[in-house]
Amino acid sequence: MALKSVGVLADFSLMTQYRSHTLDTLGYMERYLQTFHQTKDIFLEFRTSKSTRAEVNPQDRELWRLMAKQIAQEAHHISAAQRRRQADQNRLQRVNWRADLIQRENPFNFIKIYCLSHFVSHVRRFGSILRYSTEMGELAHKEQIKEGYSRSNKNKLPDRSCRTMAASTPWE
Amino acid sequence: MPILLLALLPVPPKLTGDSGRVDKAQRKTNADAVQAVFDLVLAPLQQVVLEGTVMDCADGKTRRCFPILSARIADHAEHAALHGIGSKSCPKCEVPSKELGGNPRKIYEARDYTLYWEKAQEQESGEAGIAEYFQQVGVKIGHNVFTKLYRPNPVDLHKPDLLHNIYLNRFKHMMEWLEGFLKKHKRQQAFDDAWKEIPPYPGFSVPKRAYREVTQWHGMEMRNLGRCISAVLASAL
Repeated sequence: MALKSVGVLADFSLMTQYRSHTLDTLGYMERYLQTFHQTKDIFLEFRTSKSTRAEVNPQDRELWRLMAKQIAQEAHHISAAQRRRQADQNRLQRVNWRADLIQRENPFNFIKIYCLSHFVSHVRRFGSILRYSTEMGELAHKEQIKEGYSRSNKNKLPDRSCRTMAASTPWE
Repeated sequence: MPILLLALLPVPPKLTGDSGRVDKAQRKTNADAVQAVFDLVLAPLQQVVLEGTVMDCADGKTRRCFPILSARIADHAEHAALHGIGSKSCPKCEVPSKELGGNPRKIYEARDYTLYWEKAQEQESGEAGIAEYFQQVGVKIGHNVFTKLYRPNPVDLHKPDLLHNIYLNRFKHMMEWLEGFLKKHKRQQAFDDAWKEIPPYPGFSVPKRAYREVTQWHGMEMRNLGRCISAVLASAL
């Protein structure tokens, strides 16, 4: 399950790097995303935030105490086997309840996971995603600004770096 | 693709954290300053869009062109600042912040920035209930830079961002979950060993260190990770 989830996520991101797409590849991308959302729950417990854990754990302990108390009360009129069965049942109930609570908080609520669902429609309208990456801008930041800065005499900086870069671009 | 440096954005002063009121005012000033700079940068486009301008064409002729803004390439925080939305809202559609991790097939209403602009004007003239509406759709600034432009639809200016979205953010999150998962099933060592033993392949740089020894990840390394992760995981499990 975990392997599948990671696999589809990796496949999806490899596909976003394609330079051109066909209807088939877009279909694959949609399916990968769908599969990821179906299988992501395996990672649910590693994804919970501190605040959620802080809320869930005490409640879990409280429930455990209640259940233990109940069993202790009934201890003298049921047999050991029955007691064990009851304890197992309680444990299962607790695990389910805990998973439910975490599910309700939905720890996969973050913007970057949602943005992925716009990727396919973007390709349909504007073409390959690769050329809209910020990498180009980040690189330009390094080349133009940082190197421009180290070459300059550190006076009137913003003004100067804009001017020198505008003068040295191959554009003009 | 030539890149022309037009302006450097102002770096806002740090928030003091002393009092909420001062910080709030400072945040407002910062947001206004960034919006004002972009107004200034995009101002020449406004006139040109209406009247057109004569440009050289590749075939040697000159043509009248109407250049319009077609994309804004930035990471999510920068998008949120200029679109005037909260950090947990999508610039493209009105998805509630509680449903971000939900079903990807579900389609939400696309954002209408002109409507926000109208609403912001109504709010200025004293209409009640607008603040609640803005909060509901995750809008912070009704008048943003892009609503002032004539042609482009602000929704289309937002572009998916591979570097931040996939390499740096999503792979990072995924590895965090995976680490927790491996720890639980005690397969960390197997994963590290498999990671170190990836054979060289054209167009692929072999990781030199075990996964847990790497402290900082760059975009390029994350891309490599995306290529080999499923195989490594499969052999580790």
